[in-house]
Amino acid sequence: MRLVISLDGKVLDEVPLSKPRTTIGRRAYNDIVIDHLGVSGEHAAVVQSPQGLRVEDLQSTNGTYVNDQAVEQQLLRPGDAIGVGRFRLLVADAEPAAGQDALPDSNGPVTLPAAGGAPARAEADADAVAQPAVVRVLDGAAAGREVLLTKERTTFGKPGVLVVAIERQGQAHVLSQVEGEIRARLNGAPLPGAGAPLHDGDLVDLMGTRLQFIGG
Amino acid sequence: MAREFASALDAGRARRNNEDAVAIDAMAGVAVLADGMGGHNAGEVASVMACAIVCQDLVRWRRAWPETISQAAALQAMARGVAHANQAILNTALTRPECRGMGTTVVVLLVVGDAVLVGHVGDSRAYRFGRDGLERLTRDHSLLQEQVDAGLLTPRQAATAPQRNIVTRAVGVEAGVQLDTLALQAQPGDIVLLCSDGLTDMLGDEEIAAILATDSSLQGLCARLIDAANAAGGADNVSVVLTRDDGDLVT
Repeated sequence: MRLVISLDGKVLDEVPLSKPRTTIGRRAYNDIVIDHLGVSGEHAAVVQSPQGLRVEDLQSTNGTYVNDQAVEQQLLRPGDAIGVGRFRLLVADAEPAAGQDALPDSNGPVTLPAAGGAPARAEADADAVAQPAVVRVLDGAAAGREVLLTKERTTFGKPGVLVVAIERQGQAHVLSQVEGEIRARLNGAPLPGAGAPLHDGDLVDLMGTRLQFIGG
Repeated sequence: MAREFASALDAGRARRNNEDAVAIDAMAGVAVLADGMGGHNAGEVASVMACAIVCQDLVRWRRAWPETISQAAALQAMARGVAHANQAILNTALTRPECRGMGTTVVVLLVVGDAVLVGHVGDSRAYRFGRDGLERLTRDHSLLQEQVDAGLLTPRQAATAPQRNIVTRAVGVEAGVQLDTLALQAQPGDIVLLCSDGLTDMLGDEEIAAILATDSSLQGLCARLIDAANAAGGADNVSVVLTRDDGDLVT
């Protein structure tokens, strides 16, 4: 079983119910932390009981609901929606179907483009494979934006003033300056003319607009 | 490439429950929107399950294959995700009397390199808004669309016909489900819109285009679409997802 957590129709997360007791609440030590007004520090728990899955309200201020009925405790079935504050936790029994996730072409005649490393990847665990690297913009009008580095070469900056490029070289990412008199800075130091490899957490400063590289 | 995503949902002015759902994973370039149907909270169950399952399946698949993905493989992954959701929703519907007959539309968006792949079941739609204006990308699986196709109704008549909301295909109502898919080459600046019929029943293409043409953040555009649908009556739940590739430059 899993809980699909949503707020006003936006699906936020999914949590497998793998433990005998899964706690829900605002405090950080809960298994499912919902840091939101209307959710008590220790709000509710979902328990694997001999009768099946059961939700228990932990004397929360605003109550725990199952299908819009306030409950103290209640056995759960797939399709039940637990209400905690404005959040919905839907009980779903849909485990990811075997063989569907890691191998995209396990049941179809799909031809993947020949690429280095493809055979190794076929054996890789889905969760063990690194995610694509990301650049997060920390300042300026685009602050908070994340740019996925899916292309061989991604550029950032102001044309004619200061432009840098991040190029993928195998597993590595290399930063270099392609335009501008003013040097970009990498972790506080001027970026060398030959460029430099990027590491997780590196900060790139483009005249006061900082970008953070995430990934390896 | 800086691809942004934004979304908004609203119950509308006539309904208390929101049976629409949205799931987005911007990192993986995945967005799913669903409009559920069924008594009690069953419509919500179906739409949330569809969004969660399809989104999670595609995110996992994407993590396993982060680099070279052919469009054919990606479209197959999308179809498998929808089939998985179909099975899970149907299983729940069959084991719970109050969930019997529940189902949901779904429209799925997956970014693969410079291409945007779209799949849909039912009458939730995808549009592209770009230099050539607003272009509808999907054809509803609805009784009404079939009547239009058969020449029984003109598109103008269809816009005001009663029983607009009868879908002829849905996720979770029978053992199999057929997903219609397409791939498009989105230019930087193009906006792709996913929406439920709560938007398109209230607003015509010109009104949607006029809103998307305003200079606003994606999240601001989402709010304007919802507000306009509600101002036009808000007869149903409204949900929208917008995505735009702003190009490389962060200025």
